[in-house]
Amino acid sequence: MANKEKREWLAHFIDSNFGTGTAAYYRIGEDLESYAIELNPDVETKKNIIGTRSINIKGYDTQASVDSFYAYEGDALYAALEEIVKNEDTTGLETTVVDVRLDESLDITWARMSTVLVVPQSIGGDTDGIQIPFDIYYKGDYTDVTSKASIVNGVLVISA
Amino acid sequence: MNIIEEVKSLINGAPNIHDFSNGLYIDYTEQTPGNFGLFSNGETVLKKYINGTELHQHNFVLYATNQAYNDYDRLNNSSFLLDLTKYLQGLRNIETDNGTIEKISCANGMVFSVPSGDFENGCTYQLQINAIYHTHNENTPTTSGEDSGGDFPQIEITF
Repeated sequence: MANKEKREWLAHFIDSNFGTGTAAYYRIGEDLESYAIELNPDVETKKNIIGTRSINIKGYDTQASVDSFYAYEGDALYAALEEIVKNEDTTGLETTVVDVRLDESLDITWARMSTVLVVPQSIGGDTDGIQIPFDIYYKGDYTDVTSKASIVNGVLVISA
Repeated sequence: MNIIEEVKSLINGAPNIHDFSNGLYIDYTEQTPGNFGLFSNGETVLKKYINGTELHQHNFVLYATNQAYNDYDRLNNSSFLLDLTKYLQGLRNIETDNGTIEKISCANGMVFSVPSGDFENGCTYQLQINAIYHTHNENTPTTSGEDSGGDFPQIEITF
């Protein structure tokens, strides 16, 4: 029986600079046992007079939820989220996310970038540490960045 | 150091340990006062994270043989175990070869046995120690721009 694809072969990065200056991509996943990009397809089905069903897929309302996000010392993404929470900011929420699929050799199979809105849900949590869980709303403006990716000195660079 | 070596080192660094211990051994103990032995009871995986890292718990039992001739000795012994518990439970973010120890919990610090059957010849105390540590996936970068040293590609995007 074939082996399952490891979860860490689908990586998710978020720009912690929120579009200001050079992008600084933070990998989502520390302390996170589960993360899924929910597609929420909008599907309309209709019975027709010939005895079958017409199915119309109107689109996707894509979003994801990071429900376990702890503050670590020096963490740029946490610092940005804390600033949003402190000011209850509704305008500075836009940034970009890059979802990357890797194969067994850790070569990039595909990578896509999307503009998203990051919306914090709460601040605080249990005694394990300060948390800011947040939701990610995809705008749907996907860009394939697979061909722009290269590895330079151990760092993946996506060039212009 | 791996998790076992690190916990041994942490215990050896505990306040006043040298007033009670003549040496801390691994998986070995003698029935002589001052002899301490740290026994590893294996570990379990508590959680797995989507970036490939994991949360593990490694379990130990510390057996400490001390003189217990009178109440004064026994009070000192139990007080030492209490202080050792507080010291270990106050530690955070200790780096090891296996990962980062997030916290240590202790339980059941108590008299375990009276080896000779006579308290005048000393008794053995036990302290159960659980070290919870977060593994580092050699192939997982934590932030872009940092070289993890592994083969996993890090993402840096420039335009």
